Amino acid sequence: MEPSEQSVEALYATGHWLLSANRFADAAIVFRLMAVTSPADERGWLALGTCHEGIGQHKIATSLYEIAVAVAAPALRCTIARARSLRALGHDDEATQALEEVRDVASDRGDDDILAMVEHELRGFL
Amino acid sequence: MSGPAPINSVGALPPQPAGVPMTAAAALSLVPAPTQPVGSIEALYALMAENASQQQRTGKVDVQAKFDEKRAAFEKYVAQLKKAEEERNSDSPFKTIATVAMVVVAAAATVATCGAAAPALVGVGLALSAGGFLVGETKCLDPLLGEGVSKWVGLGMGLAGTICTLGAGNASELEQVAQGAEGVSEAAQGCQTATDAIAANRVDHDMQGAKAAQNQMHRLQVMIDDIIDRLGEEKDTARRGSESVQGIIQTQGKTLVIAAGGRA
Repeated sequence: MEPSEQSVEALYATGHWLLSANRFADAAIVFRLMAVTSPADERGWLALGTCHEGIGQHKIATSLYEIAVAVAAPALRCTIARARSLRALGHDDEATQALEEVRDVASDRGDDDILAMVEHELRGFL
Repeated sequence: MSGPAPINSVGALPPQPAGVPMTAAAALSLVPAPTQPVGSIEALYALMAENASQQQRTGKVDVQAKFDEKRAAFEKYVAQLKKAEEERNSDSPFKTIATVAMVVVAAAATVATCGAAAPALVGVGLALSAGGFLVGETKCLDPLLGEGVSKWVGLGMGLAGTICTLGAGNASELEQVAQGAEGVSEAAQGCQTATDAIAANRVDHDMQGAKAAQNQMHRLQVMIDDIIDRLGEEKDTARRGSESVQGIIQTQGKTLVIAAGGRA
């Protein structure tokens, strides 16, 4: 079943509202549904992983971000988030490598927003 | 820490986090903002809209399947009637007449049972209808029971056949049987016309159900738009937004009740 664009946006807005209120478990239900019904939408995976990060489940979050890269490529934000989770798990080298890969892609595209996010995350290693 | 939870499960997240939780600000740093600020009620309406849409699609498939099933049965009956017409001048005119009678009643039974007539029940109906027709037409009982009796016995058996075919073999179908005695080709045409008309009626009825589901989906979509619009206008006043949602919820509840009553 392919949900309408408006339905997807409604789901995302709902989950985001819950997430911004620190209601991670509630938001995860919404984003889980979004990820299943619209797997090509990177935001669902990103937000769902963020929910798990929010309660300290970085390993699960990392797996979700990896899935996003596979089904919603290039999923640059998810790759950055994955690096963040890897860092939380103590895998600094792998995290740095992921961020540098994203930085290369973002540079080629001229995507300043992604570059700023990468730089922000890299500063965390200093 | 335990292994990853199934990503498509709908249960709540484990209550015992094993790692270091993030702050809300950090968690949201990569997550893009939605296009419009809305509340959680949208998820419910969105799902309902999708569900209604799915039901409507399923309904259309069912209607088409029924129609195809009936159409196949009717084509078979018409073929049998054409064959009976070819054999009309053969050595077995009664066989031809019986075939016409049974085919017409079978067609009527097919319509009445949506193409899935109960074999035993319809079988009895066919035998009675055809037998009644033969009795009435050939006057085979007159020598035993008196002149004119065969006509009434035949009619009675025909009516019994009508009852056994779930009422499908009504006067119209019996008239078609009578036409079969005068001209098989006319019966074939009448059978085709009658079954098509009845089938079309049922398909129309089914399509009305599908249309109702479509209308409900449209109403839900309008409500979603309404919610988004209202919350977009009133985003700076949470209380007013909440009141709007509550009002819509009440309206939606009434609508569902009305819709449920309409379907019953």
